[in-house]
Amino acid sequence: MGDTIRNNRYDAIVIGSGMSGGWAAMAFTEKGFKTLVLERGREVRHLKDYPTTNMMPWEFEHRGEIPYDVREANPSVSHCYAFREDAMHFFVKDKDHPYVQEKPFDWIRGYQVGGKSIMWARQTQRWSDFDFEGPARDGYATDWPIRYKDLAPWYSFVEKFVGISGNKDGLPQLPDGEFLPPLELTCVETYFADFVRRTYKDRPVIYGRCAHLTEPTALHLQQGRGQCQKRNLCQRGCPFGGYYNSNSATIPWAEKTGNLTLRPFSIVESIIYNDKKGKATGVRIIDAHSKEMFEYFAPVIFVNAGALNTNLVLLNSMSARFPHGLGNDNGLLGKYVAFHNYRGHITAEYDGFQDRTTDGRRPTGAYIPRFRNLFRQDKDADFLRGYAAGFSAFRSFDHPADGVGQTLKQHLSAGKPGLWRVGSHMMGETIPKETNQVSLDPVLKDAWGMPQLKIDISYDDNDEKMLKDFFKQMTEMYSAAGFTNIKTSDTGQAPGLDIHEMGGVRMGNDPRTSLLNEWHQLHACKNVFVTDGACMTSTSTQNPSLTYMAMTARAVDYAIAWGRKSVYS
Amino acid sequence: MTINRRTAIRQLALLSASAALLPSCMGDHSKPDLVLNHFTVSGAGQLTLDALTSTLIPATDTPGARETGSSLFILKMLNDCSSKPDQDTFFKGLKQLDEASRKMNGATFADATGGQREALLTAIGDFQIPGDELNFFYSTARKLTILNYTSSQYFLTKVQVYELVPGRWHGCVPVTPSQKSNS
Repeated sequence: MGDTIRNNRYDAIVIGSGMSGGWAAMAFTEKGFKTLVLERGREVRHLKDYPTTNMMPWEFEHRGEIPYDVREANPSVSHCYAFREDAMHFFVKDKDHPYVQEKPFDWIRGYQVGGKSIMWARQTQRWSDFDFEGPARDGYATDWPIRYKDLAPWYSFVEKFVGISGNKDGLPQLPDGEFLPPLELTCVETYFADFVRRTYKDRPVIYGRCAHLTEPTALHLQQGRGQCQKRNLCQRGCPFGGYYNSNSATIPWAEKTGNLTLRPFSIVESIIYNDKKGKATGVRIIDAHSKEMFEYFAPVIFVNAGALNTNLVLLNSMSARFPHGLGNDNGLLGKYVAFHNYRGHITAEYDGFQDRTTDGRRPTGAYIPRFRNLFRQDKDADFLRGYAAGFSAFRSFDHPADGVGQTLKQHLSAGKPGLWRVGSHMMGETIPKETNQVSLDPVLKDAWGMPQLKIDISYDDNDEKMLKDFFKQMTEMYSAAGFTNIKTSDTGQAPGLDIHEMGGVRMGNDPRTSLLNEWHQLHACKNVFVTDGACMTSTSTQNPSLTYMAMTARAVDYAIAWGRKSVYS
Repeated sequence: MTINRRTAIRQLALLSASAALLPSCMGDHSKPDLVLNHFTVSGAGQLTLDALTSTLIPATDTPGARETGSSLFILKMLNDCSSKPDQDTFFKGLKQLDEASRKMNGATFADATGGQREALLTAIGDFQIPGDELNFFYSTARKLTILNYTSSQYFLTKVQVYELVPGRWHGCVPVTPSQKSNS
């Protein structure tokens, strides 16, 4: 590759350092490619920049609560379950980075090295062909240009490095991976899993696969990461590296190669397209502090800015050849955005196992893979596709807080085991539609002069029907299992709060109906690759990060081989 | 005890970042006004709140809510984490507590005997004394007192030990009589 950094020249540029950008950085630098990673936010170093990680509960001045004026000024991020006093410094405040909500949309972002991989929920389930073949079978979105077999070896490759705790469940709808030992289910979770398996042939309740080092391998120790200590304080950053994030794994690994240049505070303004050369030549950035513009050049560019910001970057990359955004010949850039429907919750109680409880903390849970419309469209389902569900059962511990004086004091320090409480939340597939879209606001700009993203996304009738079905099926399963005091609730939350927004730059076989080909290259500008959530043709029901990482590893491998025949020759 | 005094002092230090202690020109001269950025609490108001927290969770052979710094914590949470209307309601209710005490016991809440204070709080808790502001004040102050006490260093190191690093997880174990929590 030679001395390419002169004149701001690199072998590859990666936009974003989160879940997928970290993988692109590592995959390129390991192969000897001088790689520039552009991160719009600040540097966050593993261990060093986790300021709250070892704080005790009494050391938080508001005991976890977010101050009133912060909540008032930042309503969207304040809806997020993890936006609490211990992790609020990792979340973008609405007020600092405004966007336009045509309809309510809570856009949850993490502008820093590592992005949202610092605060993610760490659930890692593989896709199967029941997911990839969904659009073709059920006639929505467009056919995926890849199948499970294309991604399977890359899932394995990523899982070994990341460290995934799981059971080999032997399910065709949720293929097994490279697993570290699972953590135990609780008594009631095991009971429910056995009950449901006996009662419904096709509804497995399993231990949710997750990115925790239950038993680190040599490869994890080499990363400087150690065993998960069951603190369940992951959102603060882990002092043991017990869960996976870019900061503890891919970024330092890339740095060790000597081939990484990481540039924080770099807001990508656009990708530079050279009309004469017929390809993208580099990236134009705005320095977040000085607001000066800089240009960097590379033969290959990976866009991993986070699904909606990737859309924004491409939409803002206008040229004579691409007046409506890079690669946007068909006018579909920014369209067919989808997400996961997380509105359904169902809780209950169970009065069995009175002599049993749990000990320690578990940062994970049980999981119910999609069972509706799975192998075929169910006859009794008036909606397309289905939902997966998180499931957990814990024994509450009751500290009665009644009385005054010594009575109250004694009550508070006594306490006794209470009921087993069970809970489940749905993760529903939403159907991508042309009308669920993002675009550039023609007038409004942010503090750096970038157009604000206009987000026009909402639920539809299919989502409402699916929510009802989740309540119906789960209530039936709960009742049959002997759970009592069953309560369903619709959180009514806006799209976005699932933090699984996807699409806008979807993959497909046909350049007339999609933006990216089977290798994540823009059909119309082959040296630009998109491997974050923006590339997703459909959403299925799995937590998506593992799939983004596998897609990124696969795409970089291809980009290097493809590049050697074209841009690197 | 030193631990708890330290906790209280630390909380006072946190408060003083946004507060100034000013002498009051009127009312109770024994304690200066406490000025926070959203409201000012009179010396008398502070004494009432302090009496309330130490009545709710008294010091015995172990520290109580006064020793864990509950009244300053209540004011800090009210100042930082509550809306203006809630703050106003809270202080109206605080005044009403003294009025109710005068009516029932012929003395302010702080000046009433321990037994009288407990009886009054029990009556409010049972909704026997009308007044939306009084009830809002009492439920808020009570909730925050309990939160402060049960999340204090004293409580989480001596009563129900908080483990920052459990290092273990067992999903189904026998209940033991000595168990104080399950996490």
